[in-house]
Amino acid sequence: MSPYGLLPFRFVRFDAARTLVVNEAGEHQFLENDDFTRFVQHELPADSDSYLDLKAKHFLFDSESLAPFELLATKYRTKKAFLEGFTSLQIFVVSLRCEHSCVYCQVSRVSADRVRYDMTEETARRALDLAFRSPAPQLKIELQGGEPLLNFERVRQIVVEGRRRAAEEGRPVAFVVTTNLALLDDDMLLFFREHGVFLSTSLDGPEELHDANRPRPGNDSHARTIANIRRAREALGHDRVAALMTATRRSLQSPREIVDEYVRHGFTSIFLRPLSPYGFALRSARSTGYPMREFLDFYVRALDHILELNAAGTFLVETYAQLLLTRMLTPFTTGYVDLQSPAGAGIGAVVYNYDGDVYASDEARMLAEMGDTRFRLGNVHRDSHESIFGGATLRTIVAASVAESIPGCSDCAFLPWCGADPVHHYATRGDLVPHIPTSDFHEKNFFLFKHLLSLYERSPGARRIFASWIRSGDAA
Amino acid sequence: MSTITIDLAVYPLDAVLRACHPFTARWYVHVRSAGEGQVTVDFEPRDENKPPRGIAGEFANALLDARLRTLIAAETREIRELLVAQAFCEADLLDRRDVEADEQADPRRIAG
Repeated sequence: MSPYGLLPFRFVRFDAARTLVVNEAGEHQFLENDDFTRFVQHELPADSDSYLDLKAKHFLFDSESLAPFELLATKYRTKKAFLEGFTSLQIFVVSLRCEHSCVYCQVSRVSADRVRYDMTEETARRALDLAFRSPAPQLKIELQGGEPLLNFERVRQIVVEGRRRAAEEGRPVAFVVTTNLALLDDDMLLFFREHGVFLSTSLDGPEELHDANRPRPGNDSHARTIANIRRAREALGHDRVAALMTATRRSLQSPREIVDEYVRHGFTSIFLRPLSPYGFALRSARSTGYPMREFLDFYVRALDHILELNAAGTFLVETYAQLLLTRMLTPFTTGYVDLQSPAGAGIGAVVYNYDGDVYASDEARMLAEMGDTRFRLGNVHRDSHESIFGGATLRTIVAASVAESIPGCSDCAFLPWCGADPVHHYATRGDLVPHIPTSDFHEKNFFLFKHLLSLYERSPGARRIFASWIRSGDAA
Repeated sequence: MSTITIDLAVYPLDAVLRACHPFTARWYVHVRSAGEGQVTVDFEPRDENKPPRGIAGEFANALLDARLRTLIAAETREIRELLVAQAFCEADLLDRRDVEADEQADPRRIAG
């Protein structure tokens, strides 16, 4: 009879000599292959280092373990804490219009038709009614488009009414406007300052690359973006303006230049994102798209450069790595809705489109713009909170996105750190449940978990930098 | 095409199917009964230009790991279920129709 029992865990053959084990709460341990064999055969000596590590991290229990199940259950609950913040992210698409015509843009319309593509006052009010039915202890309201500044009247209404309702309830609320900044004026800046609004913008890299990716009349997107980032920082504060980039095929040639552009303009974070397979992006995939393998090569080169910069004293966080590392190396989860099990679509975030339609995620809305309204949960004018958030559509999304029950995910060592994205897989493969062996979502995340863990294990320098990124995320 | 015969006394069908799954990225995988206590697995390359070199050894290792996973899952299943139940015990997972129904009610239509 074995002197110890196994607690639930999964494993992966990490390299030729070592096996990685990850338990239900996301704690991990590397074992030499021989030790792994002894461990699962209940033959690991109780005085070995591996035994003590595995016991401390809740991979095994023996007669001297103190409340192992209770502690592990608490850790598991902590990892699933995102479920408590039901629909804490509320996204309002206040206009579908935009004066940019970005090569990868999913849905924006260059149109003067305000009546057709702008959110009305009544739609915004009804969407706010639903938003404040959310049980989340704090809310983030994101205003986006198209270009939301083209319907600034609606931005103003939602922020003012949202602030008032939040104050009445005593519930914290944060506002973020996702904008290309090209139309930013002094009145808008004053309003944003008075109401503590954060700005999120797009910066794809150096001028030539940015302007090629993001055409607009006058071909001056980069110049306007940089000038208005500066103005916004002066008016709102440096940390109130964030930027992210989208990689086109052209971008893949310039990882160092893109990173350097962010440093040049004083950013302390960069979010390296592949193209989304939605809307116009899908239609233009032949000219702008690429296999995931090429994006990952780009990512590795960019991350290497970012680590070099950090080692030389320039603090710069890669946001996706920060998200993954937080999930891998801390007891906590993240609010990132695209990497949760069950998926965050419709339960972590919800989207109110300009016409009042409610979607489980921004990607679900983009699919609808292509004519597929499968993930429409309802409409703010016609449907109740109960039917929108308790209906068959959302239940189907949630049921299909429990990674613990997805073939290929259920056995994966990285499951406690990962998640599911049913809308992505439906858009790319026509099925909410992914075929993991050929999924680009799996390819990306599996590779990055291994890559980050390899860096963390073999490089004390990378380990220190990653720890500083996790700490900066705690502070944010 | 590469064919491998498996003794189900060593590797249960559940482990065989789990081991096959990752191979479906590069192969069409056909699992067929091969008489009592045996199955054969045929690997047909998706890309005709990539011959099935090394598949037997790779699959044999995958089978071992799949079998190990089923053993670990079986040994820890009750604890895993207990953990999840305990982690979410504060959530209201009960079907209130049963809890709150009076003695005359038949919420699950047991009486037909």
